[in-house]
Amino acid sequence: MRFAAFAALLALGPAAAPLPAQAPAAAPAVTDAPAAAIQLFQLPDGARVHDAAPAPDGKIWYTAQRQGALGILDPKTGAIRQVPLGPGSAPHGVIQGPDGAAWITDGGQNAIVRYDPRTEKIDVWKLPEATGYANLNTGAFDGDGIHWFTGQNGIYGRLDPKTGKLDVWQDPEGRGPYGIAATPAGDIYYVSLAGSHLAKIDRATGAATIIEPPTPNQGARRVWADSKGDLWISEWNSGQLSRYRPASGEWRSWKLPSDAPKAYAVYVDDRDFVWVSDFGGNAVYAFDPAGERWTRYPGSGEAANVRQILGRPGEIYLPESGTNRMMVVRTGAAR
Amino acid sequence: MIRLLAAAALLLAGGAIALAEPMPSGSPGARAYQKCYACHSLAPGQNDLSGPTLHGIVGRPVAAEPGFAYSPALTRFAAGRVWDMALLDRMIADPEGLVPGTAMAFHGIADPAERQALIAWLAGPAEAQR
Repeated sequence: MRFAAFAALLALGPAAAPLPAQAPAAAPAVTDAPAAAIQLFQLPDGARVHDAAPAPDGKIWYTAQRQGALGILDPKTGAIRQVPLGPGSAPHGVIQGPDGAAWITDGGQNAIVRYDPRTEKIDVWKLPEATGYANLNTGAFDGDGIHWFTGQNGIYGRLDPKTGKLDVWQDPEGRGPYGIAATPAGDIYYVSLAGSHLAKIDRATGAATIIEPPTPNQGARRVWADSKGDLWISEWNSGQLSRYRPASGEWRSWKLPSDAPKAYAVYVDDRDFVWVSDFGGNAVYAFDPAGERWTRYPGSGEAANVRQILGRPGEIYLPESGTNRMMVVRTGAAR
Repeated sequence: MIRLLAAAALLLAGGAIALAEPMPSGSPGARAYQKCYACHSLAPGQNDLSGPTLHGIVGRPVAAEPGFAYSPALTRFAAGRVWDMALLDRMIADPEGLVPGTAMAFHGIADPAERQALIAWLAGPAEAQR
C-alpha cells in the first residue's frame, strides 16, 4: 500500500500558547518549546497512529492501528508508505530489534509480528490458544536479545527470535500490564495500569517481582530507564511522573504542571531528559531532572493524545493518535 | 515494598491464579468481551480503568457515567444520545469512524455476529457474565 508520495509537512503557527505572565512562586518551572525545533507530518487518513520507533536510514516506523499496517515515514522527504501486517491486524507497539527489524505487538492478530526492512518479509508468531485474547501492548529486548512483551488483559511473555519459542505468564494481579522497558544492564521491567504496580522480570525463570509504588492506585501506564538504570514511570490516575531507583528502592514523584494531568507516555532521551505526555493538559513535557524544569510541547490540535514516545539521539517522536500526525522534535546535537 | 511471588504461573503449563475479576470466557459474548476487558470493568461504578464500566451500558445515555473523564469528542457526540443496541453496534464496529477523535484506542470488531453476541451478553444478567 503506497500513499501519496509525500506527506504534507504542516505549516506551523506559533507552536506554544503563552503561559500566564506571573506564575505563583511555588509553581514548577515551565517554559514553552521553540517552534523551530518541531516538524509535523500528517499521516494517511484513518491510520490512527499509536506507537513510533526509529527505523534504519533515519526513517521512522509507526503503527497504523486502525489500518493494520506498519507505517514508514522518511522525515527528510516526507514520503510515507504503509505495509499491511496481515488479516485482522491492529498493531499497538513497535520497536527496532537488535537485528534491525521492526518488532510489533499486534493486538488484532494476537501475535508478535516481525518486519524485515531489507527483505520486506513478515513473520507472525501467534500467542498460544490457551492465552485467550491478550490485548498485546508493548515489547522490549533484553540484554540477551530475547523479546519480552506485555498484554493488557493480564499477561506478559517472551519470544526467543532464534528458536521461535514463545512463553506466556499471567501477571499476579490480572489485567493491566502495559509499558515495558529494558535497562542499560539488559534487565526487563514492566508496569501495570490496572494493577498500579511496577514489576521486574527474572529473565531466567520468567517470575515477576512486584514493586509497589508509594502512591496508591496511581495507574502506572508506561516505564523507561535512564542511563543510570533508574526507572521513570508515567502515572495515569495520579498525574505524576515518578522515579524508582532499583539500587536503593527510593521513589520520588513530580506532579505534571497542568490543572488536571493524566500522564500517559514516558521516554528518557540521550541527555537523560524525561519526556512525558499529558492528556489532561494536551501537551508533552520534557523534564530535566537536574534542574527540575519542564519544557512544554503543546499538542498540534485538540486532544492530540500522544500514547507513546521514542526517539534516537537528537530526535524525539511524538505520535499524536488524536490528530493522526507525527510530531518530530529536534533536541540539538547528541551527546 | 517488594513482594516476591512464589512462582509465576506459566500459562502453557496450565497454571492459574485467582484474580479479582477474571477474564470471562464461557460464551461467544464473553469471548468477544475479552477485547474490552483491559479497559472496561463490569462492576458498577468502577471507572478507574482506561474506560468507564460497561455495567448497564445498554440503554445508558452516552458519556453519562459519573466520575469518568470523557474525551471532548465523545462529550460532543453524546448530546441526547443513548447507547441502544444499534448505536453500540456502530461504536463497537469502528469507534473512530463513529466518533472521530474519541480517546478509545480500539480497532473495532469487524464480524457482525461477534458484535451481536457481545451486545446481547452485555445486556444480559450480571450473574451470566462469566
